[in-house]
Amino acid sequence: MKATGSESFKAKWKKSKSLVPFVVPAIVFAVLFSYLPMIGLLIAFKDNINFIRYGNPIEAFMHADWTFQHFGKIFSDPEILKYIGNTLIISVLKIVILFPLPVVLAIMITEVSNKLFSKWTQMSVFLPHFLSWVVITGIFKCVLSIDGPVNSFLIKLGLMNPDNPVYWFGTDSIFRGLVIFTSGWKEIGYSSIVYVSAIMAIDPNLYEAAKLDGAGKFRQIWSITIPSILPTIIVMLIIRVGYLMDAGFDQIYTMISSVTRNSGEIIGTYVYRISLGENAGQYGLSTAVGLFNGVVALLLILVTNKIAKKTTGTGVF
Amino acid sequence: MKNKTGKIKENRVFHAVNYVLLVFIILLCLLPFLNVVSKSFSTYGETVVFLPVDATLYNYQFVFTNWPYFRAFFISIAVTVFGTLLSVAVMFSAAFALSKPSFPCRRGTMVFFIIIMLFSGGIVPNFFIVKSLGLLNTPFALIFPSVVQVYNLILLKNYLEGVPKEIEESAVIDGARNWQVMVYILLPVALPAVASVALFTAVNYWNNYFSALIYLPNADRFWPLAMYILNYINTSADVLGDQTLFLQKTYIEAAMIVVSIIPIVAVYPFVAKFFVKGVTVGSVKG
Repeated sequence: MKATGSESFKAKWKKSKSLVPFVVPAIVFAVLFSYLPMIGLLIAFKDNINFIRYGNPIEAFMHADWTFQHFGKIFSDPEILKYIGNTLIISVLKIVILFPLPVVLAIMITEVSNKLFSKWTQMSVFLPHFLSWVVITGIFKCVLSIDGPVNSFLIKLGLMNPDNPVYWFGTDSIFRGLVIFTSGWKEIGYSSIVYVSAIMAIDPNLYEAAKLDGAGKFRQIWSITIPSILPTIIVMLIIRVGYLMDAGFDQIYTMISSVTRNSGEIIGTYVYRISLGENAGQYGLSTAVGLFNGVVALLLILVTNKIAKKTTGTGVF
Repeated sequence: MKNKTGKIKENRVFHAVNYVLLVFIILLCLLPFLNVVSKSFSTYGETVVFLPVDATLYNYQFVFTNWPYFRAFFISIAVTVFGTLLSVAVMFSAAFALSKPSFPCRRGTMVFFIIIMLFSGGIVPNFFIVKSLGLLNTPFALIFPSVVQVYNLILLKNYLEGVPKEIEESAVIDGARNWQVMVYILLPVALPAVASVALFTAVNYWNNYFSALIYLPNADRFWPLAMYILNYINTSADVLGDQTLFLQKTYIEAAMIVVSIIPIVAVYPFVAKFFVKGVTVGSVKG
């Protein structure tokens, strides 16, 4: 068995070795910027690496003692536990509140019979996806500033006291809501594309038959549209749950400040803050927390992908 | 009969409500942009809603005469152009080889790449590797770490596997080399997929501030636009010193945001179909 395998490899090698150089650049970039850093994860098992004293990072690494204390800290430090909690809460809220909305939007878009209106709708709702979180947060800081249009509107309606306006980005208790809302604003439109194309693929005869049977719009959506796209919905949900540990660094880093850290700091922003950010220097602990997060995320993705393959026959890889 | 008119009425109400809700959603998407554009043309004073207050070009004048902003803009353009060309070339070349069933150790090589998609060293190890390679505080740190995009590789490979063999066979018989087959025959055939991948890559490079945040700690002269704007917004106004700037700061930010969006909005109508295609071509494939 083994012999035939190596023979076929040899045969393949002889026939197609001229193809190998085409993959070499990709392999070089992958080794340098993805696999070497994985070796660098050993930093998580080192105590106080002094990168300033030793100019060369490798030398500094060699001189530090081995330790397991960082991993102990993950489960005992109340601060870290709180940030793990924040990550899970924000992620779960994003899934529970935002996941169904692209399905609803896709159904609404496909029910539009006017082609031009449909195109305009899609163009408008996809646009925010292509902008940087820096820009999105900038836009919302403008719209939600203390003397901004939203506050002045709420004051006009009598819903807000003009002497006590809301600091939308500077209030800890609002922060998670703001994260969920802006995340939805940016991504709901774009996430609906998958469902729009799934709905377009449904056999129109099904709707004709339902109409003859006297089914109204809601009945058609409930009995034809939803069941037809259910496999897509399930796959998307499983994939989404696989990314539970990623609450959105790019987004939250642009929005967070020291006032909102209590409810908004997630593992990603914490790992950055204590290694290279404001409270830089705790490389070992930061790497350990990142490694813990990465391993949990990896297991989640592998498990959810397996479930997706078992239940629907499709997965990501 | 009564039932039937009931259904027709239900459908009418459904469509009316659907249109109204969609218009509301479109406004919800577009009004924040309108507010920022109006603010960028306004002078400090009353609340800006949908129209500029005391219309002025001062904010744009400030932005266009502000050298660091311009520099960041050109760095973003350079990083986006070179990064996209490099990344797409490297990924297409790898996808070309890996789409051939006779490629030696094909499965193993794919696993090698897929692992990257699932697991990474994280911020600190990445930082020290980039530092050890001598790329810290250089513009290359904005490009090289994100050259390998495994999702794009899979998308291109799937697309190339779907191309009929006959298309390249005659060229191979005529003695064409691998690279000639790749560039002159497969590239034009795979252009829709390549265009989608290139656009995704370009948007990622243009919007990326994370690489600058991590890899350019002491080199704000190489900051791309996203990083420059993020830093400007987070710099408290009193640091700027000047009284007019202090009051006008958020208005200048609005102008900076508008100018940074222009390249994306300008190409958006022409390329939107490629984005949609990219999602549907690459989504959920076994």
